[in-house]
Amino acid sequence: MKIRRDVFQAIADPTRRAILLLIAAQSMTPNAIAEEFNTSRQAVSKHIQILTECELVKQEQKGREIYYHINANKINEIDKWVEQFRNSLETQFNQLDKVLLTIKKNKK
Amino acid sequence: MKNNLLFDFTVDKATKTILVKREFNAELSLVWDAFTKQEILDQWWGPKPYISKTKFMDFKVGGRRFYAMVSPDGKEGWSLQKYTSISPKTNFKMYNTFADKDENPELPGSEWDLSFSEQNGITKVSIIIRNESLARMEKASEGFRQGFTICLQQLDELL
Repeated sequence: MKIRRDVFQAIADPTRRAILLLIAAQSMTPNAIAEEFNTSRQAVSKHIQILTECELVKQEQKGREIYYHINANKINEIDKWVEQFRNSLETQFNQLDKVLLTIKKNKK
Repeated sequence: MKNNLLFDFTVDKATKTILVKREFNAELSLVWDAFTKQEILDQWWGPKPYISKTKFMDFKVGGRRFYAMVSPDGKEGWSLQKYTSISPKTNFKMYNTFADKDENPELPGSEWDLSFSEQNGITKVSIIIRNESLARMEKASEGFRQGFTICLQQLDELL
């Protein structure tokens, strides 16, 4: 649950969303990403670090350079969360059907 | 138990909410009690294998329900529901959050709006859930809208 909330926090920030948008098109080096923003390299680096910690972004070593790319599996977690919530509600309501039936029987 | 009662679950993109509709084969007053009385709630609120255990419940505006979902190995996951509006046998609203064992809420939570209506002995419960995390998620998905085709398709199906 904690990890999932971190994902939401990670994507709540506009700069981090812009970074995701950038590297969604192609994997990029930290320098190339930083060049797209007016803020300092350190600030951009910090954003990338948060995205990496939340596993939204993966890094890959190519020669001497590190490239960042989107971790598609993590994005699917949001999908999973809604699906789990739906299943849980369905189970609860099926249980309620039985409880209602029992109460009605006992009343008669 | 198989039945033909309605179960409708949709995610509304425009309003960032989850909409749930469910029919129950019982009269309205009974279904209302099942959602608002501790002793009936605890019989069904925990989705198996979890068990709902309510520590206290004060069903009035401003009142709270403090309860745990207890797992088969006895672990307790606490939640708080605060009732923000009640129209008897018609509608009630609550703010739902996870909590620690000392009743401290863990924000953000979700707003629940539950409406009850009866027709021909079938009671329909309509629930609108506004989840702050979901709202943030939708915001983020706008950012993915270009060049992120595979995941975007999945988000679109979802929202």
